[in-house]
Order: sequence, then structure tokens, then C-alpha cells
Amino acid sequence: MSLALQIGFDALLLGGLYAIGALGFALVWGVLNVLNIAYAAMIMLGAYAAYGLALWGMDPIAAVPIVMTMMFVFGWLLQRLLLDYVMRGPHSLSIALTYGINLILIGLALYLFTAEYRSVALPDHLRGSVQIGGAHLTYARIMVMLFALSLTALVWWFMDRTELGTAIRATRMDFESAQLVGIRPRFIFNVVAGISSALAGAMGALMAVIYSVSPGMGDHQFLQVLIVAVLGGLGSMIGPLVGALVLGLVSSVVANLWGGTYAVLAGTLLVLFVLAVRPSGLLGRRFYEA
Amino acid sequence: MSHAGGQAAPAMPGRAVMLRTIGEPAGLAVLLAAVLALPFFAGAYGSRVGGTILMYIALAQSWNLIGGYVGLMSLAHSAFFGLGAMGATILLLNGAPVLLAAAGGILLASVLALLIGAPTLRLQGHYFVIATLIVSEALLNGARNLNILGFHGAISQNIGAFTGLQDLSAVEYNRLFYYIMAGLAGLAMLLVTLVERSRWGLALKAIRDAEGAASAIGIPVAGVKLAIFVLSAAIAAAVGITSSIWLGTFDTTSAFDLAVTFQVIVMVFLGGRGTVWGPVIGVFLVFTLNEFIGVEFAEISTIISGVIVVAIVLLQPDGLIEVMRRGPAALSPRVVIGNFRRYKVD
Repeated sequence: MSLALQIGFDALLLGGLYAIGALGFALVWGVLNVLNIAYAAMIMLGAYAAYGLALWGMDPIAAVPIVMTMMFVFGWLLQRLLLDYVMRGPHSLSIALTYGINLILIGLALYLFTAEYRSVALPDHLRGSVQIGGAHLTYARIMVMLFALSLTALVWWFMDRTELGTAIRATRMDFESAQLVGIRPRFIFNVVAGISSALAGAMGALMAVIYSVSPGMGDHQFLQVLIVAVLGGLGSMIGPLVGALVLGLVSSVVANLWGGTYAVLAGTLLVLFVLAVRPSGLLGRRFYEA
Repeated sequence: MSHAGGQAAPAMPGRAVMLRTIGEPAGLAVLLAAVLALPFFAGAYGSRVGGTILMYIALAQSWNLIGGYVGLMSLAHSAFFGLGAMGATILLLNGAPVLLAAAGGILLASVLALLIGAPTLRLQGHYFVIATLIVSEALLNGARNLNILGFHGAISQNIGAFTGLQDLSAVEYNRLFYYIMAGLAGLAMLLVTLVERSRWGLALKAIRDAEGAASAIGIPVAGVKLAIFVLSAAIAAAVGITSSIWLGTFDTTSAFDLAVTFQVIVMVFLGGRGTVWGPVIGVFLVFTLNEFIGVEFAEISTIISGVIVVAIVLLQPDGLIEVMRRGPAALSPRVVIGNFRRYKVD
């Protein structure tokens, strides 16, 4: 019983983190049709930003919105200065460009911070834990989970209920018609890139609270984000969340029963199976309907 | 997905054709002679470096077939490299002669390419790219956990003692593998040249530039894609087998290393994807840069290679082959700014 509960909590925690990561990734994929390899580095940058703010004595959870603001500006500028210039090319070009950007960012992180693993020193109110039915749940994990879930809800509200969100959905559904009704695609692209980068930053910052921070941390997380994005499919808000919970559940069941290496294998086999059966993901749709 | 890479017409067609007909065979003969003669002048170390360059040419050209000509951004190249090497290692460990082991490795990789290609090649756009990435990761993890017929994926396997080549001197040994790599690079170059000059090649480019139209005029799109995917995988496997036998050890993590795939893709992009000589230029460029930067500052070389990839993609998206094709004009500010603005969103 307590093992089942522990697995359930782990799944919720991982699921919440992967959901916001996959949401940001799927947004850029869906609206800009860019497979952003540099997303791995963006997760890592978010984690380092949170680590830096925590070093200054800021509460690690309170630092997340600040990290997100910084990463929004970063993503906006990256799109405006570099990625905007390959948007109409073959899609292999944007993959190569984001791969190059990923190299630069990871190289910079190695140069500035070294390959050393670092972890955020938690303040007292995040240190304790509660016991629910024999399963341990630290305060830090509860806070991370709640933050991730409310962030998903916030993005859903933004995409579904605001004018800008509607414009983004319109651009995704029909690029030409969106232009005809006066939506400026470049502005939409920059906003979406900014939001995506902010979500990557949030994922990294929240991971910094419970795991350690290193320049290569994004690479492993990126694979999980890809799996979740594909599992959930594009074009729905709830998709990444469902995909993330499924992956979180499978990963933590397999990790608890057989060990960590098999968890990665199970996740990859799961997504290949889903792709073979439903090429557009579990909840994928042709059009974006939040 | 449209592909707007235009071919530049030579300024003086008559003279260009004459230069091609006389200059090209002569140049090729000189190049071939130089490649074949190199190990006799360069010694063991030179053969080793030369063989490694030829290995990357073979890898880059085999990726160019699927990535450059068909436009499919496959990230599974390192998986086939590793699968071939792993298959050959398992056979060698069980006493198979080296040529049979190599054939078995190529067969294993080709069969898996068929099994992987059939479902994934149906996927559209980025789904294919992501599927190949996930397949590579799954195969790496699967191989790491594999324990069959005396093969253990978690440890480095020593295969040097099973090949019957351990009696050769260092010079002879490296020379042998240099020539095998030269053969594989030559084969890959030949295939790309055939693709460039045949109806087959036109079919591939048609699929890349307008898949629907290609299908409508009777090109069996799915079959052609699968054939090229398997062919490309088989070459990668042959290179992987040669490389691991040359090293004398098989290590799962380095044989299936995704960094190899990305390195090869970078080479093809730098030189010029979908061209015969572009990938060769890309390989030499990367090797020259590594020589200059050195490997002792890994962070700096990572940053510099990133900057170069970004610069080429933005300023010379058709690759450095353009500089060969059009001369210094390809580097003039007007052309470079034009390239920069070519795919910009308004």
C-alpha cells in the first residue's frame, strides 16, 4: 500500500514537471513548426538561474516567477534575433540552428559553472515532510507539484480565455487567414517562443529545487519532454498533462520494481508503441482546440 | 515542406562544361592516387588520422543520402553504427570469422532499419525526427541491458583477440583499416554520385521538394524512402563494424553515442546537404577546426562549433559548397545578407 502510494506521488511529481516542460515544447512545435533542440539548454539555464537566485538568499519557489520572466525575455530575443530568420526554410534548417544554439549555451554553462553538480540549499519551511499512508512526501515536492499544476492551469487559461491566446491558436490553425485578420505572425512567433522558454525555465527551476543542477541536466530531461509531447500529441492543452502522468506512472512503477535504467527503456518503448498505433499521439488533434 | 535551395547557373556555360569534361576525371584520378598512396608516406599515426577522416566521409555521405537528398532528418544514424558493431561483436565473441561477423552485423542493422523505417517513415514532419531520436535512445538503453551469447552490454568488450589480426605490425594494421575505410568512403561517394546523376536521384529530390506531387507522378514514395533508409543504415553499420574492430573493443555507450549522429549532420550541413562534395568539405572543415582549437578546452570548442553551425545556417544555408561553386561572390555582403533574409518571417 505504502509502495503504491509512493509510486503514485512520484508519478504526480514527475508528471507535473514534465507536463509544463512538454507544454512549452509543444507550443513552439505546434505554432512555429520548429523542433527546438535548444530546449534542453533552456531547461538547464532555468535551473542555473534558480540556483543563482537561491544563492542570493531568495526562496527557491518564489524565485521561479523571476526565472520565468528572465527566460521569457531570453526566448523572445533568441527568436527575434536568430530563429525568425529560418522560419520559412526547410525544417531541417531550424533543427540545425537550434542544435547550434544548444551547443553554445551548454558550452557557456560548462565554461562559467564547470561540470560540477550543484544543489540548492533548501530553506527550513521546505525541509520537512508529511506522511500519508506510509509514503513520505517532502514539502519541497508538494510545493513543486502544486506550482507545476497551477502553471498548467494558467497556460490553459491564457490560451483559451485571452485575446492573445486566441490569436496564437488562430495562427496555428491557419497561418494565412490569421494574417488576413490582422495578426502579425512575427509578433505571435516571438510571444510563443518567449512563453515556451519561460516554461522550460520553470521546469528547470523547479527541478533545481528537488534534484541537482549541472550543464548536462537538460539533455536527459529533453528526451522525457519529447516523449511526453509525443505521447500527449499536439493540439490539446490536456494532452501533455495526460502524457506526463502516463510517463510519470510508467517510469516510477518500472524504477521502483526493476531500477532506473529500465525506466528510460520503458518510456521509450511506450512512446514507440503509441506512435505505431496513433501517429498523432494519445490526445492529438489536427487543430488546436484548448 | 518546400525546399528553396536554388542552383546557380555558371557564368560561362561553354567553358564550364569544357572544364568539367577535362578537369573532372583528371582531378579525380589525382585525388584517388593521393588517397591510395597516403598510408605509404604517412606512417601509422597518419594512417590512423587519414582513416578517421575517411570514416567520417563515409558516415556523412551515407547520412547525406537520407538527410540531404530525401530531406529526412534521421537522428538514428548512430544507432545503426552501434547495431552493426554490436552484431559483429556478438558473432566474433562466438568464434565467427571476421568477414562473416561483419556481414552479420550489417544484416542485423539492415533488418532493424527495415523494422524501424517501415512505421516511422510514415510519420509526418517532426514526428519522424523525434521517433528516430527516441529509437536511438531506446536501442542504446536496450543494448546496455543486453546479456546474450557471452555479450554484456554494460561493459567494454575486448574483441581484438578474436579477429586474427593481432599479429600485424602497427603500420600494417592501421594501413589495412585505412584502406577499408577508404573503400567504404568510396562506396558512399559512388552511391551519392549515382544518385546525383540518375533518375533515382531526381525521384529522391522530387520526394524532398514536393512529396505529394512526387507520389502523383508515379514515384513509389514509401518504397523509395525505405530503400534509401536501409541503404544508409547498412553503410553506417559497415563503418561502425570497421571502427570497433579497428579499436579492438566494443563499448556500447560510445558505439551508440548520439553525438556521432549530430557531428555527422553538422558536417553535412556545413559543407552543403544534398550535394556530392559538400559533405567532404564539411568533414575537412570540422577536422581542421578541431586541430586548431584542440581538445583540451572542451567548453571552448563546444562554443566555437556552436557559433559556426549558427553562422553557416543563417549566412550560408546551402553550405560552404556555394563558395566552391560560385567563387568569392558567394561571400560578398550582398549575397550573405540575401541569404540571411531568405527565410525570414515578416
